[in-house]
Amino acid sequence: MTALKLEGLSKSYESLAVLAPLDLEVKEGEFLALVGPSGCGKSTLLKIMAGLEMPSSGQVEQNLARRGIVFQEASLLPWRDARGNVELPLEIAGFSLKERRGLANQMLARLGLTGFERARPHQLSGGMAMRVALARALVTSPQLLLLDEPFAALDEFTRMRLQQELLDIYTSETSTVVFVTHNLFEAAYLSSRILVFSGRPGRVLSEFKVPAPYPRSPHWRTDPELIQIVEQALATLELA
Amino acid sequence: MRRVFPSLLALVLGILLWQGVILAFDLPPYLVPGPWEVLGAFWQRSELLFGAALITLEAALAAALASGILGLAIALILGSSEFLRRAFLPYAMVIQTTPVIAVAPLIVVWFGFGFRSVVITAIITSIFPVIAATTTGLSAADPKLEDLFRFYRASPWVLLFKLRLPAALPYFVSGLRIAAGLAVVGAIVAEYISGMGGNRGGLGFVLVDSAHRLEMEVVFAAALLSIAMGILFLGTVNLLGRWLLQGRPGSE
Repeated sequence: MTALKLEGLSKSYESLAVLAPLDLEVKEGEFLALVGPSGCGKSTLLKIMAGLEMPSSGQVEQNLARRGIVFQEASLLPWRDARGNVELPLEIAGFSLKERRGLANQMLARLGLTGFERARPHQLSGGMAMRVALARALVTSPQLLLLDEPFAALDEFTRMRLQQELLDIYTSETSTVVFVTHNLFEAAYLSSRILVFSGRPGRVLSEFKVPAPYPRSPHWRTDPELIQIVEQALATLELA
Repeated sequence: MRRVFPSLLALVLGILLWQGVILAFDLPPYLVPGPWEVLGAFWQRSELLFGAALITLEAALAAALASGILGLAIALILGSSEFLRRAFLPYAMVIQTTPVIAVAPLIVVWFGFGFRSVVITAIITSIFPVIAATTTGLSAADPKLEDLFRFYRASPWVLLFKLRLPAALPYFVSGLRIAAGLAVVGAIVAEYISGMGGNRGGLGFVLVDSAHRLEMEVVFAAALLSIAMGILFLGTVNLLGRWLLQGRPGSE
């Protein structure tokens, strides 16, 4: 089944074309990575999928009701503790205090944040804040998870750990994921399909299926097959 | 103790210098009263001084509270629409730069001598920092957070109460901090002009009246009381702010 369908979609700001016309179908259950240089419009594309921006032309067809989103920064409410932040989507959806407490605690535990429920965002490290943001996105059990370079600002080891946890969650929950990144290794490690975008205005240069089955082990990170995919993708960007 | 010691030392030196200048230049008490005479005035004229201070305190407190509540309400109205903001905020700024002393006589004509005019003048003096700061704060929320609320299809009310108002709170507190000081100033200035309702005059009235009588020690004492009141107001708002903003970055 199709989770998301974009038809003849393009975006420009006044005379600046950000996204060249694009057709794209995201299948339910797939992990799609959008990769490209900065300014290629991949984040804009994600925002259009999220309904946060209107396309200049074309249509978006969305079949999934429950959605979650994570931005590049954790973007937490600074006046709420970790649990209060995770509760927010449930609160907006009108869940009772008891229900959202329970679900938030569960999700915080899932992301290894037990004991940090009452911590304020400024007391958390970058990695922990991002875990809270992930918990917030996941707390509504989303059918579609939109991630906009969520690990770009983290250090290498924190990033790897969070990638692993994202894979665990994706494997056990099998929701649909759209993941924006400028890191081809990250894309190949996590996703089942990669779209490589050109520089502005962004258009799809190439598409790669990533055949490795889920659950993926950390060995896949350095697998020759993965390296090959990255190499081919780099070639289409004229970087290899 | 170690932290307040330098300022205490400066205070003692200042008082000594004050007394020293009087002795050195042989200044008469009807021009410059000494520290002991001022202290004596607190004792001998306590009924006048503290009675006046209480009147001013009431007026300034009423004005500060009104500025906080009305200022917040007006900011919410202005913050709800770009059109209203563009229409009225520039004029709010104009009124803010109008000196109180120019408006006060008009207020007296309209509202009569006494407490009511004093409070109204003090509100006019103090409300604009609250309006300006809170209006700014209401649109100061992180755009990413606004996106987040829109993504989850939050209603305008949810957006207001769970994002924009909490984000505006630090701005409101700093506006209120300025307003609290200005409420005291505004009340005293208004009492210069309108504060002589019967025997009930506030500090502003005592300042003018005692200066006319060349009772300089009373003038000094009344001035010290108004300074103390300003500090009291500021301290109260700081405490309130710490309570409202507890747990936020920079508040510990």
